[in-house]
Amino acid sequence: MLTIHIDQKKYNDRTILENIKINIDKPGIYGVIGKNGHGKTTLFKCLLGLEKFQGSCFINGEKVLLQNAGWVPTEPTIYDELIAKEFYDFYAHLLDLKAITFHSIFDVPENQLIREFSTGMKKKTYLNAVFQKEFLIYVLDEPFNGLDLESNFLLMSYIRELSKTSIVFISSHILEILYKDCDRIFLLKNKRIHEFEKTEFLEIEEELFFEKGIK
Amino acid sequence: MSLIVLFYLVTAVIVFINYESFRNYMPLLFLDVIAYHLQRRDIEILKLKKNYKTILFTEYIIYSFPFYLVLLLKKEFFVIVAILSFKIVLINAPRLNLKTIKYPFNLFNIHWHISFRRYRLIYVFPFLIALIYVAISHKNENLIFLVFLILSFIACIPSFERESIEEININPFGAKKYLLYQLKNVFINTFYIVIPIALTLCFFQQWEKLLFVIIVFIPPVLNVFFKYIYFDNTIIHQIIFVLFIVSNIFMFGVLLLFVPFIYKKAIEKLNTIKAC
Repeated sequence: MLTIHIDQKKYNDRTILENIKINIDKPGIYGVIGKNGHGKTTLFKCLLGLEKFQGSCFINGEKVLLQNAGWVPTEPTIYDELIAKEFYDFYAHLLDLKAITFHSIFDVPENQLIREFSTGMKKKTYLNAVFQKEFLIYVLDEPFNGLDLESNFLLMSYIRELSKTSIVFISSHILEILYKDCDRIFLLKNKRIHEFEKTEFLEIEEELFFEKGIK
Repeated sequence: MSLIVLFYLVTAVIVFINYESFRNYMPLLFLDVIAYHLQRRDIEILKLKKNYKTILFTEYIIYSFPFYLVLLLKKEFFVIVAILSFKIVLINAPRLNLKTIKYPFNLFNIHWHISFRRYRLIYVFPFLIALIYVAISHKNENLIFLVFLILSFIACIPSFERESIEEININPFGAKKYLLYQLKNVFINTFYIVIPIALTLCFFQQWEKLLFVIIVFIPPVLNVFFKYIYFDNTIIHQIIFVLFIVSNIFMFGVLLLFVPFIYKKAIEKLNTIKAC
């Protein structure tokens, strides 16, 4: 279903990712973890074609394009001078949705300027806008950041629904969320990727927090 | 900053020398203070000072000082008092909250909404309607063309802004269709802002002037092409666009023959952006 081959990704002379091979053959939730600066966002950007790299990413035999993926960055670009409803409509125009039957996941004041929103409300607005369309693949970079407990619960429930038919990548620093719901977890460390089953949390934490030989 | 001050001083000298020609238009020179006052966000902080109204009043006198000097030298005391009184009213008037006006603009280019809210462009329309009234009552049709020019400039503003490369790539259209939708957007939205002016012209039975409304659409449409050709550099975009428009005015639109070439270049650039 999805194959990611990143032979090398460099920023200037610094190699960020090397020899990354991911094969996913069924829909589900797939977690991506790693310390800050270890390349989680870069991996997502390469997957979506937002960064140039050596390698290729295919979904169902076709190149992965941003237009076919639901992409939510850690800090989404959202326009302060709009009201939420206008932002949804703008996104619907961008996604070329013919009939707009909009069911928002999160309740956000639709007629208030986004400038007056809190960080969490801005994120909810962005998520509502992206979830207007169904995609084969979703890439959510730290989607729980800034959201309150209730919204985290709502979002995770919605992701579970999506994962029945789509591949959902989530990066997060909250390991408990990933342990509970992910089909597989990918750990980025030292430019490489390490793949784990969700039950292997001891191995994940060992790899994440301890250097080999230092325990 | 010093260039702006120099510009104000030079304008004041020109107005002083040709005072008789500019006499009726003197109040227009003080209008930018209104725009400045309405868009400033520091008033809430200024209010912490008890004498903030005096501070604002003094600031606005300094702001337009060269023009006050011209009026003073020409002994137009009544005009000075009228303008100062208006500024006192402006400073004391409760601030209107026009932030959440719902505009009818097509949302394919979101910058129409953003520009109208950020720069409070809606304020210009009563002024434009008043200008048409002045043009008709003084039989000065050039003022109507000035209204068209201002309207066209307003329609160009959203295309000086940029959507993000990610947004262009999220859209599933090819470069040609994307550009076509942007052109459609600029045409529809320009049409919306032309309506109040066209209705005013109809009200005053200026039927023949309505024919010239089409001119309003040309610069914003061209600006969409230039936006994408110079997508990476807004400064060059603005310079080339202004040069192109000015050259067209002096060459009676001959340069419009290059539009197919400009269109092709815009598509080439959009293809490059979409391939990022």
